[in-house]
Amino acid sequence: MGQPSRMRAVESGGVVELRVLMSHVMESGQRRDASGALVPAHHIERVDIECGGRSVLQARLGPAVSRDPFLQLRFRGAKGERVVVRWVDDQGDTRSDETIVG
Amino acid sequence: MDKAMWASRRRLLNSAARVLGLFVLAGALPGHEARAQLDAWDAAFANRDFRSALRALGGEGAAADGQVQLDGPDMAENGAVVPFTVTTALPGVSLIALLVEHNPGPLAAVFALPPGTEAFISTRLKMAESSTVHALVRAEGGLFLARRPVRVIQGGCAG
Repeated sequence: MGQPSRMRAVESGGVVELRVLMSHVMESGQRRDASGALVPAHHIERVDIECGGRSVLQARLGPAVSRDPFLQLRFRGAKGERVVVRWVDDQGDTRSDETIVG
Repeated sequence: MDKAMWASRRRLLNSAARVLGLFVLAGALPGHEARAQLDAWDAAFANRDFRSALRALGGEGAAADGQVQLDGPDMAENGAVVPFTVTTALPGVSLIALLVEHNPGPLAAVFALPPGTEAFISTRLKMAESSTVHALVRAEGGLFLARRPVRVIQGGCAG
């Protein structure tokens, strides 16, 4: 289930600026542990973001996205609308968090 | 779930996406075009070298004519966290991909932007070593590319 995503959505002139910080190890599959064995890749694969029930972004991430993925985007929206950020990782783990546009 | 299963999922997506890609080219899926395009581009994560990844995205002939801006550092002390921002004034942007040429898997991320979302995305990537970073954009007028060389002091795939 992981830790909650941290996010902030601020509207100005009809455009919402959203910043999201998801909590995930984003293991690259390139790293070796203390015994020299490759640590298997483990990363978020999909991110879906909605605002007021409308899709505003669909993302596909690979293991080259940094640990605790950060996304910043801008879309049409209004104060008071609900922003929902959902992710699914390559082990089927998933998390959904939301905020209200301020 | 084990690695092999996910590798086979990528392979399945890869072949499924090729078929979908043909439909998209034929204009057979107008209503679902954006979704099909995203799935087609998703398949390029399987490519292990930059040229084949770019080919899988259909971006070999993309215009690198300065209409897409890729902002980021010239030099990164720590390859584990390198910030990039893609922006463009091109109309009808539906997809943005970020590729790190010298990474073991060059395709880093793909973003599908529905109407109403601005052609702007900012994120942070890992870089294994110094490399050119590419932003590929699908807009109304076709495919466009921006490039940026980044010198990496300490590689970031160990994270």
